Amino acid sequence: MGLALKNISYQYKDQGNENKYALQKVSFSMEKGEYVALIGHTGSGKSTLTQHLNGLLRPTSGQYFFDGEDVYGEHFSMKMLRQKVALCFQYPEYQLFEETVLRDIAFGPANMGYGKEESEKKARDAMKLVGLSPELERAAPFALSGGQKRRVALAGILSMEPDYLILDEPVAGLDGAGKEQLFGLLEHLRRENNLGILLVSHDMDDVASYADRVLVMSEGRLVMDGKKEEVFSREEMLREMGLDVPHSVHFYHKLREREYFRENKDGLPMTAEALAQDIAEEWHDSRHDVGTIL
Amino acid sequence: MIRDMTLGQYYKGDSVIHRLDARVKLMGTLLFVVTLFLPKSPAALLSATLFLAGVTALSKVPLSMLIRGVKPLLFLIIFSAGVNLLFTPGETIVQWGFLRITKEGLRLSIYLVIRLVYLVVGSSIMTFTTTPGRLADGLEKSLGFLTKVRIPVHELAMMISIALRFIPVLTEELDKIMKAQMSRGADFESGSLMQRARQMIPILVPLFVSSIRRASDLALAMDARCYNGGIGRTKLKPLRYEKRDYAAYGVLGVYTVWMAGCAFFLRA
Repeated sequence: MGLALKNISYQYKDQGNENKYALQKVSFSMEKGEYVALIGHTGSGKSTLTQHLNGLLRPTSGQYFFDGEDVYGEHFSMKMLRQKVALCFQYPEYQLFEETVLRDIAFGPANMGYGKEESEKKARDAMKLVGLSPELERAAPFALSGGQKRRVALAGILSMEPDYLILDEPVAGLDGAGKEQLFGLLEHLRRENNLGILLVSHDMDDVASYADRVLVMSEGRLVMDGKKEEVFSREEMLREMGLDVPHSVHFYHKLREREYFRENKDGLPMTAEALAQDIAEEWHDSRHDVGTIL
Repeated sequence: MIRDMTLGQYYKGDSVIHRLDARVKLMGTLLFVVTLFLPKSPAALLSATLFLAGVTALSKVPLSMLIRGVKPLLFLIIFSAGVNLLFTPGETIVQWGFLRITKEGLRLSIYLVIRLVYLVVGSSIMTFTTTPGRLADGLEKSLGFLTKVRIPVHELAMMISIALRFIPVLTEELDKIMKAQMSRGADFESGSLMQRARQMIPILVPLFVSSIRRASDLALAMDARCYNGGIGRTKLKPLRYEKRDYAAYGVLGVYTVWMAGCAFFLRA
């Protein structure tokens, strides 16, 4: 079950350079309820990959199974795939077009074949989910603030009630509070609706704080796939691909170099809070030791 | 998806045609198009074919790109050829009911197709071999005399170059918006004509909104750099005629005289 890509390759058409692959033999799978992050340098093929998952691009070769069904098979419904595996593009607020917020959010469900009332009901549910007050239903999307527009756009995607949600840099251009709200919402959706989340991000701190598993792409290939602690422990390799590690990991290594920690900690600290905890424990232990010696 | 549009695109290269002064190419295109529509004769058509083939070969623009440029206009060309074919009075060749094809109609539509295709190919050679910036410079300088009659030539040239500059940007934007709406289940490929027209709304509204946003950003950026029109503005690379440009004018002159001659002495 879940999403499974097998040896997906994608070649650019008629760009002059025939051997240019945007994706080369990419294979991975994910399940509902998983929180996966996709990282990689600009041009590494991240967005090409996400567009394959959503059925917007067809690979040159390879297979893609959704809940065991062959997506490129004859009888497969792309509409269904796009509903189940929703894609939220970067700056999704630029795709708003309707006269009212409610109608814009209901666009997705209406396309999926739901009637007007049912679509609007789903739209209202999605509005509640993203924290838009019902008074905004009749407002024009273009009259809203940037953060509100982003929420309307996200509601327009969530109203389709997907099983998986792919987000391309969803917090780009949001302020601190807006960012936290959005990540909080994603966490909530995963817990309550068992939503599978694939987060494309350049911010390693966000990746380390929220995701469980990390995929790393470089030059069209999927080069790493593992738990975030494992992936971020290979700092050298990541740097070679032009990628970073979370600040907490970086700081932890600095402390290790100066022999602050007497022994290795079990896992790398993924967040500033975890690092603070480690430091406090070490400090406490060392004082305790000194005390016993005296 | 929308990558088929080639009109107004630049094809990077270093041919003789690429290096010609933009004014020469503008004038050349103008003369080519005007002489193409002078009274028709097989000799004139043959000369135009040879001229166009020569310029194409010199420009080193691949033929496939030129053909792609004609494609979007195929419908228009076929439609006008069809109208000419069926509704020109004269000597009847074939007749079905009220529809009939006449000898004159056949001739007229053949000429029309060739002329329209040459028109498109000829002007796309110009845009393929001239960067939008150079093209606007050329226009501005060629039409500079119009400022005397209070036509804002510089402003118009600036508008044209901005418009050309934004074609690729908006094409990319369009692609992105289409994909975003498709991932929300929009379907642009099926339905009746009315339905399809309605399906354009989710694309056109965001596209207009973003064009306006971009235009206002650009205006602000130009203001911030103290842009105040063409008065007193100097160019980094001013247009200057070289020997080859005079040679090209010479060739153009001969061609124009020859075509005019064909039109007046060799009427079919």
